[in-house]
Amino acid sequence: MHLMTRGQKIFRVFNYIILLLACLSCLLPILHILAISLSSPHYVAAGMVNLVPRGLTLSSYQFAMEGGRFTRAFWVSIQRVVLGVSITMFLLVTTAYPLSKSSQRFKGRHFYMAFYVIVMIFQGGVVPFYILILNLGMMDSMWSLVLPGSVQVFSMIILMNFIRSLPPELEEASMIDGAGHWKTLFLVYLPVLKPALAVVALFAFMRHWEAWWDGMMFMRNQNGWPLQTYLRHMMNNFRDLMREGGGHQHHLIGMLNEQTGRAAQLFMSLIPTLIIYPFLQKHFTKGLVMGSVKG
Amino acid sequence: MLRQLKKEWPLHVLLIPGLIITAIFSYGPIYGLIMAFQDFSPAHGFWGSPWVGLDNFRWIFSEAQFQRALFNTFFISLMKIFFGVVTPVVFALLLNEIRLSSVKRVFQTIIYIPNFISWVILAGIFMTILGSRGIVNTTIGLFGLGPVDFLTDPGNFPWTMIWTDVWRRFGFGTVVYLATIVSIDPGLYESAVMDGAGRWKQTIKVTLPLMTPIIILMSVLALGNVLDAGFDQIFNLYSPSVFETGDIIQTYVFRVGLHGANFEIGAAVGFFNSVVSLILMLIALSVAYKVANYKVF
Amino acid sequence: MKKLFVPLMMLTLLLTLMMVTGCRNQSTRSTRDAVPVPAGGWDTPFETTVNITAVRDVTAGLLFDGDDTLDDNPWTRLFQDRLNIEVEYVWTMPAGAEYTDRLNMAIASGEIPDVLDVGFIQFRQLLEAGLLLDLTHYYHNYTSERIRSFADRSPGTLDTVTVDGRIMGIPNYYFGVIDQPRTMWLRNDWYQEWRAEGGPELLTVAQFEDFMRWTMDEKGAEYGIALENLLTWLFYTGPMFGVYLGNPGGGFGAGTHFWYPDATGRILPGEAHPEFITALTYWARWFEEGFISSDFAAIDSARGEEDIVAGRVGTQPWLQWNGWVNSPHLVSLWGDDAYQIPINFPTIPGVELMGQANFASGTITVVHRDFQNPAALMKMISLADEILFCLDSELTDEEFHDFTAGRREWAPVPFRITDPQTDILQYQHVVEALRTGDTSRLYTAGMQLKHNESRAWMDDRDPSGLGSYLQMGRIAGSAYSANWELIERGALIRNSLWGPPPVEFNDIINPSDIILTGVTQIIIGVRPVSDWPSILAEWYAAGGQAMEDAVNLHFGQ
Repeated sequence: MHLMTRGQKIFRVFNYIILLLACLSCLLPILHILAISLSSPHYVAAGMVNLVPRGLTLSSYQFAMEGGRFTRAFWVSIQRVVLGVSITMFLLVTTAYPLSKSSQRFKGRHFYMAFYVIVMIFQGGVVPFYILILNLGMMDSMWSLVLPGSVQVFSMIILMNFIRSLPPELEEASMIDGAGHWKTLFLVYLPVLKPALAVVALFAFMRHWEAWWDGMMFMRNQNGWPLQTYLRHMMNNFRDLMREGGGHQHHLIGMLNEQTGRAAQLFMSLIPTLIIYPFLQKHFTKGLVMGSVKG
Repeated sequence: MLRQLKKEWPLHVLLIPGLIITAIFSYGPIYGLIMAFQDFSPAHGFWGSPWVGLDNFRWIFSEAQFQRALFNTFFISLMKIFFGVVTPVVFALLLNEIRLSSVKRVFQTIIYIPNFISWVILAGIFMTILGSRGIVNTTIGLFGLGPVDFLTDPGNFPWTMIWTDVWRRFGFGTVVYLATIVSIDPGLYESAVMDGAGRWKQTIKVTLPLMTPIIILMSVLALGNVLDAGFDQIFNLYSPSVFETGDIIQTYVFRVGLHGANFEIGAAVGFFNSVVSLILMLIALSVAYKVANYKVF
Repeated sequence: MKKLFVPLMMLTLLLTLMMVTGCRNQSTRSTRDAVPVPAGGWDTPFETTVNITAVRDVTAGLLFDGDDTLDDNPWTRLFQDRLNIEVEYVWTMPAGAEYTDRLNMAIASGEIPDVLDVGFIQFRQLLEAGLLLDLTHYYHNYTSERIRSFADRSPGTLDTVTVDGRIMGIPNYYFGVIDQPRTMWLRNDWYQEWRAEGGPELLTVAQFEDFMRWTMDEKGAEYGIALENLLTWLFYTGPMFGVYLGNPGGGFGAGTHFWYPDATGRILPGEAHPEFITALTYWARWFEEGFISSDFAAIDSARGEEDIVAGRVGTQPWLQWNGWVNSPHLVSLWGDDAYQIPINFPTIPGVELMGQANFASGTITVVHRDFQNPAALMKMISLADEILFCLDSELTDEEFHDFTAGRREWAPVPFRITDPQTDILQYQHVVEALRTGDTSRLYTAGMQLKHNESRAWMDDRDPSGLGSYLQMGRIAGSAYSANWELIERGALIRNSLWGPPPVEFNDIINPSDIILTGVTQIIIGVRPVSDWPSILAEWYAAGGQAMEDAVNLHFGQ
C-alpha cells in the first residue's frame, strides 16, 4: 500500500465521520422503537423513553401473543411465504427467460413485454379485484393471497436484464450440445442466475410477509389471517378496548398502550426479515447490479 | 415463418403460466378503470352505475385546492425521485472508498433498516426530534442558529418531507449502486491511473459513466408512480398550517372524505396518475435510448 | 436443478386444478322458504327453524369462553332455544374503515346477506337500488313494546329511516345524549392545590385564565391548555364563548359543523355566528400570552396527550371518556391524585353554558329484499334487548355472565339495538349503588362493569378503573354528573342537522381547509381577527353556501 497524501487522510477521516453519522441515524430510531416496546406505557405516554427502556415490561408482546391466535397467524404467514415465494420464483423465471431474447430471435417479444408493462401502470382497483376473487371461489383460500400479483413486473425486469447481461456463449454452447430452450433454462441458466434469484426472492418474501390488506378482505374466517393482518387488528384496537372496557385482556390495559403495542408489532414482524436479509445479502448485491446492466 | 415458430415455440410455452396468472388477476379486474368515468354506487355495480363522461376529471381539476395539491404532488414527488437517486450515489461512492469489506457489509445492513419502519411510527419520531424543543433544534441552537420550523413553516415543509423520505430509502439505493461500482472491471481504473487520473478523476471518468444504466433503470421505475408523493408520510406529519405547500392529491382526497363518493374520485385520480406515469416513462425511455443507448425493457 | 423442475411443473398443474375445481358457488343468503310466523307475542318461537345470514364488524375485545365462537355462543344458542332461529355469519371484519370497505365491496359484488348493519351512505345506495325490504308491517307487529318505545324516547330517529311512510331499516339508536357534551379536564392534584391556596372555583374564563397562569408559574407547566393542530380540541371550547362548533379537520369524514339557527331562524354553522369572533379574539390572546403552546401548529393529538402525561400542561378540553386515556398514565407517574377531573366549561360574562348534542344514531339494521322471514329479525332484536337492558329479565348471575362477560353484550350484532336511555340509566344506577353500597339494582352488563371499575379505583387504586370512575363513578364531579347538570337544566343545544347529512352534501366538497388555515393563522398572529369575515366569505364562496342552503332546505323551519 502506498503512502496516503495529506488530502487523502483528511478525506478518509471525514468519510468515516459522515458514514458513521448516517449509520447512527438509521440505528437510533430502531433502538428507540425497541426501547418503547419494552417500556411501561406511562413513561412512553409522557415521552420519557429514548434509547433505554424504562419500567421494563413484556406486556406489549404478551398482549399480542395471548391465546393461540398469534401462533396460528404466524403459521399461516409461513405457509403463505413459502407457497407465495415459490410460485413467484417459478413464474418469474419462466417469464424472464423468453423475454430476455431479442425480438429478432423471439417473435412476439414486444407484444408480451407490453402485456406486462401495461399492468405495471394500469390497475383496475380493489372493487373489481374483490369481485374477481369472489367469483373464482377463492374466498377463504390461501390461493387468494399467493396467486394475485405473483408475476411482479419490477422483479421480472430485473431478472430479465440479468439474463441479458450473461455472455451469449452460455446459451450457444448449450444449444450446440443439442439442448432445447427448456434444458438450457433449467440446467444451464438457473445455476448462474442464483444472485438475481436471491434478489427477487427477497422482494417476494417482503411482499408476502408484510401484506395485511388481502388477508383481511379475503379471509372470512379469522383463523386464516396471516400474521400482519392479525397484528394490525390487535394493535388498532387499543382505543376501542379502553373505551368499552371489559374483556379478558382488561388487566393488560393499564400496562400497554397504542405506542408500545405498535412498537412491539413492528419488532415481531421485523425479526424474520432481519434474519433473512443478511443471509440473502451477499447474493443480493451481485444480483441487482447485473440485473440492471445490459451486457 | 413456420420454421421460426418451430424453433421458438418453447419460448411461448414457457410464458404461458405467467400469462394466465396475469390475464386473470391483473387484466381480469382492469375493467374497474371505467369507474373513473362513472358516478359509481356499489349497489348499482359497474354495469348499473350511470356514466358521467369526463365529469370526475373536470370536477377535480376545477377545484382550486386540487390544483394546488396537484402541483405539490409533482414537486414533492419529483424532488424525492431526484434526491432519492443522487444521495445513494454519493453514499455508494463514499462507501466504496472504505477498504474493509466487513465494515462495508455491516453498513449496508444498517442503512437498510429504515425501509422496514412504517411512517406511522417514523412520524412520531420525527415530530419529536424536529420540534422546537427537539434534538435537531437544540443542536443547531448551540451554533446560535434556529429554531427552524421544519414541520410548520410552509416553505420548509416540502423539503422536510423530501429529505426524511430520502433518508428512509437511501439504504436500498446505496446497496444497489455500491454493487455496481464493485463490479466495475479493475482494469479500467488501472488504465485511468496510467493516464495520470487521481481518485476524483477516476470517479468522474470511469465510475459514473458505468453507473448510468442502473441510474436510468432506477429513475424510470420510480417514475412509474410519480403521482404517489407519499400519503402515509405526509398524512402523519402535516397540519393545517402547511396545507398550502404540503397537501398532496391523496391527502386531499382523503381529507375531504367526499361523503363516501370517493370511489370514483379515487379511480379518476388513479387513472390520471397512470396516464402521467405512462407519458413520463415513455419520455424517459426514449431519452435513455437516445442519450445512453440503453434499453430498459 | 433438475430436481427443482419436476416439483415446479407439478405445482403449476396443481394450481390449474385448484382453480378449475375451486369455483364453488358460495351463496350468502339463506334461500329457505318463508316460515309461518307463530301467533302470540314476539317471544313465541317459530315452529320450523328459520335460518338467517348476516355480516358484522368485530373488535379485538370480543371474547368467548371455552370453545365458543361467533357462530356458536350463548347468544346464538339463545336464539336457537328461545326462538328457533339459526344464525350464520358470512364474514366478519374489524370495525371501522375496514368494515366499510368490505361492505362496499360486498354490495358491489352482490354478496349481500339477509341482515346487515349499514351507515347512511350505504343505506341510501341500497335503497335507491331497490335492494331493501319494507319492514313497516314487521316492525309494528313483531317487535316488543320496549323496542317501539325507543322511537318516542329518541325523537326524530325513526324518521331518518322512514321513506314515503315506509320503515326501510331499524335505527340502532345510541347510548343517549348524556355522553355528548364536552368538559374541561384539569389535573386534579393541581386543582386541589389551587383551591387549597384559596383559588376560586373555575366558573368564569377569567378565573380559568388565572388558573392556567398559576399552573405555569407554580407547577412548572410549559403552557396553559392542551390543544392539537387539527383544531378539534380547540373547537370543543366553543361553549365558553357562547359558540357551538363541529369537527373541522379530524380525520375521515371530517369537515363537520355544528349547525344552529341565528336570531332570524336561518341555520348557520357555528363558525358563522358572531360569537365565533369573540372566541377567536380570546384564542389569539391566549396564544400571545403563552396559554396556547408556541408549538401549537406542530402538536398533533398524540403529542398533545404526551404533554399532558409529562406534566407540561394541566388543562384539556375533551370528551367524557377521557379517564381511559391519560389518567392511568398520570397516576402511575405523578401519584394517585394526578388524574384529570372534568368540570363544566367556565364561560365569559353574559354567556350561559350549554352542552352540545349531535345526532348519533349512525347505524341502521337493514334486510335484503329477498329475505323471507323478516319477522325473525324483529323477534331477535326484542329478545336481545330484553336480556341486555330490561330490569325484569330474571337472569341468573351465571347466565348474565355468559351473555355479557368478554364484551359479549356485543356478540348479537346486528341483531341488537341500543336502548337510547342506556347511559342515563347506567349513570343513575351506578351512582345510586356507589352511594348506598346496594348493588342489587345493577341490572345491565354496563352498569355492573362501570360500578365494579369505579370501585376498583376507589378501593384498590387500580388505574384501569379510572375510566369508569371519571366518566360516572366520581359522585361529586364526573363527566356524566357535569353533563347531567346541563341536561336537567335544559341547557342543551341540538345540532339542527338532526339526522343524516343532506343528500346534496354528496356533490359538495366542504372547503374546511379555508377555516382550518384561517383560524390557525389568526391564532398564531399571522392574520388579524378582523380578517375573519373575509375568510368566512371565502369558505361560503367555495362551497359553504351550498351546504348551508341544503341544511336549511331539509332542517329549516
